[in-house]
Amino acid sequence: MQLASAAASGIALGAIYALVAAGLNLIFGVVKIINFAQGAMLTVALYGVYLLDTHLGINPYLTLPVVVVAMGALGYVVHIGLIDRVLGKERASQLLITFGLAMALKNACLAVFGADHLSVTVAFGSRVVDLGGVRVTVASLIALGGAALTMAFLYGFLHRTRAGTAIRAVAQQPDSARLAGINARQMYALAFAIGTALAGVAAVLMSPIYAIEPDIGDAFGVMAFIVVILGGLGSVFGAAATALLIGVAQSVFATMINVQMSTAFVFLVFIVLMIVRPNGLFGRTTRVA
Amino acid sequence: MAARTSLPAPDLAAPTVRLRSRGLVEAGPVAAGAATLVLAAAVAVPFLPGIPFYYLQVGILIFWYGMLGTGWTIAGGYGGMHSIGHAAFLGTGAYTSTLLAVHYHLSPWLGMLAGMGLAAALALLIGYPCFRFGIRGDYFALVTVALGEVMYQVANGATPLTKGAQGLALPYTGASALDFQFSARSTFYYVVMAMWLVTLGVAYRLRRSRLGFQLVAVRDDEIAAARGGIHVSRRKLTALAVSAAIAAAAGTFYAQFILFIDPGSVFGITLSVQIVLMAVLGGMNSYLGGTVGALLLVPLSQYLSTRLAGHPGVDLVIYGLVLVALMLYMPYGILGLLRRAPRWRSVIGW
Repeated sequence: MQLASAAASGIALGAIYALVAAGLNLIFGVVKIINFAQGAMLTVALYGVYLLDTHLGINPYLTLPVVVVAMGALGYVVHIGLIDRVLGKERASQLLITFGLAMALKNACLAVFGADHLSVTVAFGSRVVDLGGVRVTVASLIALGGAALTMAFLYGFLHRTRAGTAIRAVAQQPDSARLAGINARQMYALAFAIGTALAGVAAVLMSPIYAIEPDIGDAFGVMAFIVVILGGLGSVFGAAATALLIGVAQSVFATMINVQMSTAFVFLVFIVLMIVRPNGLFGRTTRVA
Repeated sequence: MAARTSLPAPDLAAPTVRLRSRGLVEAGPVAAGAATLVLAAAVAVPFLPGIPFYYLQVGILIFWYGMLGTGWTIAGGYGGMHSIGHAAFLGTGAYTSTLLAVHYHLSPWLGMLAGMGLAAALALLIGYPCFRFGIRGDYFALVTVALGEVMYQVANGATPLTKGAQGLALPYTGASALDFQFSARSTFYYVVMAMWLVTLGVAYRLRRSRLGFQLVAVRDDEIAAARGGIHVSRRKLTALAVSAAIAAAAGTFYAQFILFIDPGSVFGITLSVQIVLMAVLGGMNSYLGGTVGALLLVPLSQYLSTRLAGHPGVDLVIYGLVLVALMLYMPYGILGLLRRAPRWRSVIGW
């Protein structure tokens, strides 16, 4: 039963991974850059939730609209101000610019809030529900439900709306999309904004579960990479399934063996799978050159 | 040899270069004299009467980072393998020589060779499957990030061997040159200076060798290079292994200089990023890039970290912003400004 409970908390963890990864996947798939700053964005959003909770006394879950809009705006500004200006230039500068941004954002959080672990609490969040012997907290259930709902919204947006269709068109064929009258640069910015906003959703859902510290984004950001690579580029459901798988595996590993070795193991698996199946566990294998 | 007839850099706007440029010789007597003067001044620094040890330490760090940046350039600049996990190799070197010295009383000089060998082996281990299956560009960078993380976590988790986060202290056995320990701190300055010079020499020779031209050809167009008869993955592996071995040697120096290592200080991702930063700021396609970057960034970061002692994180914010600004306004680095001048282009080995 202890293992089952560990697995259950792993599912909540996986749900958060899935959200962060969905944002990363959208940016990777549409703008075609690896956004190293996604984890740092999550950190920024978490501190945003913390500020709203402690200073204005808003329930963490109710900060969702504010945090999502603010993160979306931040993503938009970052794209217009930084990313858009290096697109189509040196590959190395695209990689390193998001890396520099991540460093600046994360350490700005450290400079402002210090290295202490902060936390926000929801009265009912830590209440434990017993589901046939498996004990999970209410906050974990909300995280899972919220993540599922968000993914459904994202899917609906991408497949059922004009803007979503335009984003997918730009992702597939930027030049043809331009010929069809789509403003590709605007769609890039929109995709980047939505990707960042998804980190905001993840932050709201995870805030009552995890202690907030400047380094927290690293673990989630890197794990999101793993999910995107393994889940397959552009595959929403493949990524979600991989996220849950990794969340459960990591949680179970950490209870059975020690935490460092389980993290090292996950990264090792990542390296191996990246080399063997660069198109993801569920993707088709095509090889260029 | 197809590689020799191709341009050594991707920007086609640059003027055509003579096929056999004469390298450093083209700098002319004035520049050569200036360089000699600067080097002589660097040699004389420890002899200045009453120089505070702090300044000597800054000098040591400049050479150390210069060495690391130059080593990175061999893989990242010449070969286009942007590794963001070079700390994995550095830490391998530091831990190998330290563990051998602590447990088997092996001289760290030999330990350094062993560490260099192990780091090169690690580079081959990670590089072979990557290049065999065509993992390049951003994907390769991701793999190196993961490699750095694996090594960091293993060093933390394998407590019986590495003592984990507690770190390893090297016993001070008295000043014995054979043990890579010196009573005069200025000796460390000369040792690291020599290591930097050797690295610079290797990078310079390598750039002008057949291997160097082949690497640049691979970086600029892998498929065309393969068509030209270059064994792409073998060339990339060689460059990565050399680069890793240099980082490992720097790791041993760090361990001997500080006499204490822990996973955070030799395997940390911040270190990996700093190495990249040195090379990118200076100009990563040039063998001099790492040195130029270190000359600017080390004093800056030392100044910032003493000035902002009570404010953790602020110095790294500035580092991050410098990187962002650099990528926006000067993606080719400082030496990259010279890349269009035919004469200097040959001198800096762009």
